[in-house]
Amino acid sequence: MDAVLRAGAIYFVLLVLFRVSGRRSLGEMTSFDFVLMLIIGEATQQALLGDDFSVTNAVLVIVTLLCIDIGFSLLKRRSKRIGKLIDGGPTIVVENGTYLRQRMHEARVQEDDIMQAARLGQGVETVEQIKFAIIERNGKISIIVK
Amino acid sequence: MSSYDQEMQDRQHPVDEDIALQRRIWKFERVGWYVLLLVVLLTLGGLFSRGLLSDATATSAQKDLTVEYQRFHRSGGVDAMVIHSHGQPGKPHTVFVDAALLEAFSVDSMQPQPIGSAANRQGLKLTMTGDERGDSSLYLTWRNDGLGLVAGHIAVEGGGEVSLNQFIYP
Repeated sequence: MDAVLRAGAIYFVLLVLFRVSGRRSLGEMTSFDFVLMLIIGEATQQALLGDDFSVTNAVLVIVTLLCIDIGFSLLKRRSKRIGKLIDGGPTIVVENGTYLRQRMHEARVQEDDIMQAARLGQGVETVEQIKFAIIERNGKISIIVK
Repeated sequence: MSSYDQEMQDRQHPVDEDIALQRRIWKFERVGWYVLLLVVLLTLGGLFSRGLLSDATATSAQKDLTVEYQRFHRSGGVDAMVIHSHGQPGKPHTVFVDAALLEAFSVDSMQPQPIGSAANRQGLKLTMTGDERGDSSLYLTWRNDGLGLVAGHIAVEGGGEVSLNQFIYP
């Protein structure tokens, strides 16, 4: 019983914590963010397994985590609103060469982040060349040039 | 319509936006950041074991028993407890630990070993040798097995008693 409870509790805690940390931290991962992810994985390992290091316990925990994950993906397919609540929706931050600064401020995105994405993806030099810059659900910034 | 309102209107092209919901999510992120900060500060303060809020000392009315313990524990964690007791000089005395505590915690180590121990449904009796003034100290490390609120008591047989209220986090 406790394998299911442990896995469920950790899943929901991580879901909430990663919602709080925002999409940006997930989308634009630096090498340090990657190390941080490994440490988070290490920190949750003990809480997931407890004192029971048996193969059965590991399998039960994995099955529970996958079950919840698949359940959520099915729920997201059924209800668009729940999907948006869990993953967020796309947000336009540059429109016809103009920064939408209020949105950028609330989404914690800076001009440099947008221009970096524009340079990397499209070889764009100035914001005037951008028709739309969109923060996607996965946290990445996609650029549509004029 | 102000430029702010105009900016915060939903766009349908090239993506279908729901800015109202998105702003709620952003607000949640901001509030969440303060909550996380509060959790870190409270942890430093000892709300989740070991710290100013958690360290506690209980002394019996007769002043013959003092217990240093943690108010907050985490399930599966190990914490220390020190029981200072006082009996008649040169004679052994018995410290009683009630069953509620023993059910919530399992004893990992006990220093020094009591000269005698006995258990019944009510709890555990530990016979201690005092020094020339009748004082003795018992250092225990507990592994926390229980969950939630644990109310127990420790007593010196024929002497004082202290009540301990502890909380074990999952």
